[in-house]
Amino acid sequence: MEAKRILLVEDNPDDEELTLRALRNNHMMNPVTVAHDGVEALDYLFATGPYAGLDETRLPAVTLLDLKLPRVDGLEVLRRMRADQRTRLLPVVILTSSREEQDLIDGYRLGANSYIRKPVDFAQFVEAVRQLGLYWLVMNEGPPR
Amino acid sequence: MSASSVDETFHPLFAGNPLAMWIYDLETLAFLEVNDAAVTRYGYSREEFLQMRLTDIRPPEDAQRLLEDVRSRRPDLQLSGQWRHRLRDGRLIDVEITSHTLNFRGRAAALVVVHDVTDRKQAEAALRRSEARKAAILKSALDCIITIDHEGRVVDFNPAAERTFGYPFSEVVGRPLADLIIPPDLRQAHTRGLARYCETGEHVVLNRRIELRAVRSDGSEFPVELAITPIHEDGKPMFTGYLRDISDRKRAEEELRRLNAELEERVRQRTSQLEAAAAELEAFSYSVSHDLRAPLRAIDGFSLVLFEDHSQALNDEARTLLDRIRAASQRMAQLIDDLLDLSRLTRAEMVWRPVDIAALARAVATDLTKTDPNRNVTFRIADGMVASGDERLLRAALENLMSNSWKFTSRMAEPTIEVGRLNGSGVDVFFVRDNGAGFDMAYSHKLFGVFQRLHSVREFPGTGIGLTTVRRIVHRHGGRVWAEAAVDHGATFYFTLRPDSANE
Repeated sequence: MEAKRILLVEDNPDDEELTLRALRNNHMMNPVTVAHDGVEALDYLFATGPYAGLDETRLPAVTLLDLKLPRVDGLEVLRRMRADQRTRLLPVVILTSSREEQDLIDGYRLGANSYIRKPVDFAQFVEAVRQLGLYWLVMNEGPPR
Repeated sequence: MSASSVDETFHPLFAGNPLAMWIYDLETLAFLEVNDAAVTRYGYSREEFLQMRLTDIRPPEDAQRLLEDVRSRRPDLQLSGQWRHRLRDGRLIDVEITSHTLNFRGRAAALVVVHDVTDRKQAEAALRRSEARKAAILKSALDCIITIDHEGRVVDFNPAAERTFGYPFSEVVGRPLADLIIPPDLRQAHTRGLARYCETGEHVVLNRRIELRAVRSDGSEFPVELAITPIHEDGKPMFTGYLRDISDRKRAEEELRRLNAELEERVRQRTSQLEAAAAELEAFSYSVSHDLRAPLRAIDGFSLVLFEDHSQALNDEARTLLDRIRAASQRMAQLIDDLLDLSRLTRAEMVWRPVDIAALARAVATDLTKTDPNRNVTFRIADGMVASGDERLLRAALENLMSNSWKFTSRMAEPTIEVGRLNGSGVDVFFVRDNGAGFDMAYSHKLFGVFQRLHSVREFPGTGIGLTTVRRIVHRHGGRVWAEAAVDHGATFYFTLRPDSANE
C-alpha cells in the first residue's frame, strides 16, 4: 500500500518551500502533491485536466488548504470537495495566514476538519506541521476508501 | 257721551289694558291717571305717578325734545314716535308712544299708550353690531370669503377675494361663481355638486378642508385651500367659502420635498461611499492579515534554515544577526496582529448589556496568574461593579489595563493590582491601579497614541497598542480614560463608560 499522500494547496513559493521543509525536518516521508491554485487542486482531486486518468489512490490522506488562492479560492475548493461523493469525507486542514473570524466561520461551516494559522516563527511552524502530520497521517483513522 | 258713561264703558279698557297707559294734563304735564300695566312696568305706585309730571320719567337730556313736542300743534291722534323712559329703578326703556288728546275731568289732556320696544331695539342693535362685526371680519379677513346663493351666484365677495382674484365686488355680485374663479375643467363638478346638495342634501366637499385649483381674472390658475359652510336661510341654502391662496405654501412644500429628496440622495451616496470605504478597509485588513505575514514568515523561516543548514559557514556575528532578523520579523508579526485587533475593535458592532465588571476583572486576573504561576501578585477587585456596555470590548479593555499592571509590577517586591470604582455622584468612574513602575506624568499626553511607549522594549515588552485599544473601547462607550502616575510609585488608569452629565 502506498504511503499516505499529502495534498498541499499553496500559491506562495516561500510558504511551499517552508512547508515542505517543515515536513522534511519532521522526517515525514509521505508523498506530497503541490497544487498552486484552486483549479489545480480540483483537477488533481477529480482527475481532470492534466491529472485525467489518475486512479483514486492519488486521493490524499489529508489536504492542507490555503484560503487565499488565485483563480478558485480555498473556500470554494472546500465547498466543491464537500459537494462531491469522492472527496466528501477527505480530511481537510485549512492552513492559512488569516485569522479573520469570518474565514474561521466559513471554513468550519463548509466542513473543514481543522483550522491552523501559520505562525510567523518558523520554529513554531515546524512544530505545528509536526503535530499536524502526527495527528492526520499517523493517529487519525481516515474514512474508509 | 257723558264723562261718566265714558268712565263706565271704557274704564276697564284703560285700567285692565295690558299696554301701559296714562292720561296727562297737556298744560302742566302732570299725570292725571295711570293704569295697572304702567304701574307694573315703571315701578311707581299710582299715587307716586299722580305726584309726577311727564318730564320726571324722561332722562334729563330728552326734556327739551319733550317740551317742544308738547308745545307743537298736534292732531287729536298722533304717533309721537320713539322715546326713552326712565323706570323707578333708574333703568331706561325704549318706547313707542301713541297719544290722543281728550278732555279729562275738565282739563285738556292726552291719553298715552306706551308700546315697550326695548327688546326689539336691543335685538336690532345686536343685529346691527353683528352685521358690523361681520362686515369688519369680511373686510379685514386675510382669507377670501365668498358667499354664493343656491344657484351659485355671488352674494358676498370680500376685499381679500377682490385682491386675490382680481375682480371688484361690483363686477362679480350676482354672477355665477363657476364662470369667475373655477377652472373650466372643474366647473361641471361644481355645478353638479351644488345641484345635488340642493336636491338631496348629499355633499362631499362641505365642512372640511379641501385643496383645489382656482383661476384669477387674468386666467392664471393657482392652488387654494378651501372650506365651504352651507347656510340655510328661508329654505334656500347659501354657501360661504373660505379660500386661501396656498401657492407659497405649495412652493415651500415642493421645495421641502425637493430638498428632502436631495438630502436623501446625498445620504444614500454618502452611505454607499462609507460602505465602500468600510469594504475597502475590510479588504485592507484582510490583506494585511494574510499578505503581510507571508513575507515575514519567509524571512523568519529562511533565516532559520540558514542558521540550521549552513551554520558551519556562519560566524558568531552572522548568527547573532540572523537572530535579530528573526526577532524583528516576529515583532513585526506581533505589531500586525495588534493592529488587526485594534481595527477589529473599531469595526465590530456593539452589543449593549449590563456587564459585571468585577466578574470580568476576576476572570482576567485568573488568566494573568496562569501565564506566570510563579509570580505572587495580590489582586484587589471590588464587588458588585456593573456597567452597561459591550462585554467583549470591556473584557479587552480590562485585559489591556490589567496586563499592563501585571507587566509593570514585575520588578516590585509586593505587587498589587486593584480594580475598583470611585465613590461619588454622577457618572461611575472605574479604575485599575497598580504599585508598579509608573511613569512620568510629563509624558501622559503620549500614553494613548498608537505605538507610543513610555518604556523601552528592553525594560518592558510591548507594541504600544494596548492603551490605544483601551481608549478606543472607552470612546465607543461614550466615556473617557485618563491616568495618574509617578515614576516607581505605580499608575492608576481611570475610565468612564458613558458621557459625563452636562452639568459636570
